[in-house]
Amino acid sequence: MNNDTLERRYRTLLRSYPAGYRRERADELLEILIGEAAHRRWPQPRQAAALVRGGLRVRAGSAAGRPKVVLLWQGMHLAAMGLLALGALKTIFILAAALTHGGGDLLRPVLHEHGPALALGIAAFAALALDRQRLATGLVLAAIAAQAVVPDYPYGHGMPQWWAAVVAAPLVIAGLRRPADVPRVGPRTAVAVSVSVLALVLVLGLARIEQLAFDDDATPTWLVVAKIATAAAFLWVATADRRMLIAVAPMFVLMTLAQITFDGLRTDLPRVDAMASVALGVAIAAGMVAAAQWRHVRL
Amino acid sequence: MRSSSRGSLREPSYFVLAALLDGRLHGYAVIKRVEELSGGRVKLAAGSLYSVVDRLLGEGLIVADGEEIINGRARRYYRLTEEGRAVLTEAADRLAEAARVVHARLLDSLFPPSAGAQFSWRTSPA
Repeated sequence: MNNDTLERRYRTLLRSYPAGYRRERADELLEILIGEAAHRRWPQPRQAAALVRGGLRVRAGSAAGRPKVVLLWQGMHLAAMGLLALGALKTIFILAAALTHGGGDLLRPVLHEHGPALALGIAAFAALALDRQRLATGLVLAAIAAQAVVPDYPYGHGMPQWWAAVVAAPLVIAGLRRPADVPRVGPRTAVAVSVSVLALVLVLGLARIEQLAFDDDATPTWLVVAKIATAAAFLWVATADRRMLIAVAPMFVLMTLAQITFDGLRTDLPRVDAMASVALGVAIAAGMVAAAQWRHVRL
Repeated sequence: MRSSSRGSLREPSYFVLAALLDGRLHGYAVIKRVEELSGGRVKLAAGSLYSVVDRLLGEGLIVADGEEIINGRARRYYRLTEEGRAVLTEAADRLAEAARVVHARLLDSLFPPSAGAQFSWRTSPA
């Protein structure tokens, strides 16, 4: 039956909505969707896109009593996870580079210096994914302490991973005071958003990994295409689920802190473009919260 | 009154409330009625409708009013509350007043009152 096939396809698209919302609204939505698409076998592309974005908006709290509050608190939670994920990934990259260039002899001291903070950072990320806020707070603070006692690692403070736990800590601590009416972020959503934010930061080159991967100055065409496609895909999703924009904002702060510290070690002069990226990060976060407030005030 | 402190209604919300003036409707009927009332200008997608419905429910301007099973799926009806009716009336009055001001100025620009005229279309003769 065409209608059964169409209904099954719509039900797949409706999975972009949270489970609780689907239980409440799926039948009503299906009645409208199937009523408007009689004799079709596939959902219209525009309608499918609108449904996915609608589901993402609901996930970001648009149907909550206080959308701005949900957006802010869940955005902060996801921002902390993104920071910890980026910190861990950068450290793993350093370990891999040490192993590649110096073998076990170079890996051991690097692991000794970075291993404890890496393990604690990953554990804090997992605790946040499982919504164990108190445990995550303890682990983040322990990670900061662990990296603080590392003696004289060259340019240690100039590395984003050093700052990841430091920038994440206030966000994690603030999460202890999350209002009761703000639901937890599900573990799968939390990990998916963290991976998306991480992909954006890495592919756009904010984390400067590709500069290490490609020795020549010329950026390959495929990388330019990948950057544009990633940025477009991220914006398409993040303008619906605006928690992602809040989650990505502290990355700019992280990179700036690392850049300023790194430059400070060499020249004592922070770069002007580094400060601009902080302003951009703050503007993104503030803009998202203001937009949520405006949508809420205007019915 | 709560409505006086609330911001203005956006067009989809305005027409959803207007669609419910004649009585309770289910989602699909609301979409059709909104399109009809707005002269085809406001076409709500399913997700957009329920985004509006959720906000209006949250503000107490509409309520769910009964449910029936059609083709194995639950069909829910919505109706306007007294507060919803008051907010819609206030919004309609505001739009009518705004329209009146513009129409008056448009007529003034088309037929400027001459100096010393005893009569303006807006005022009764003395």
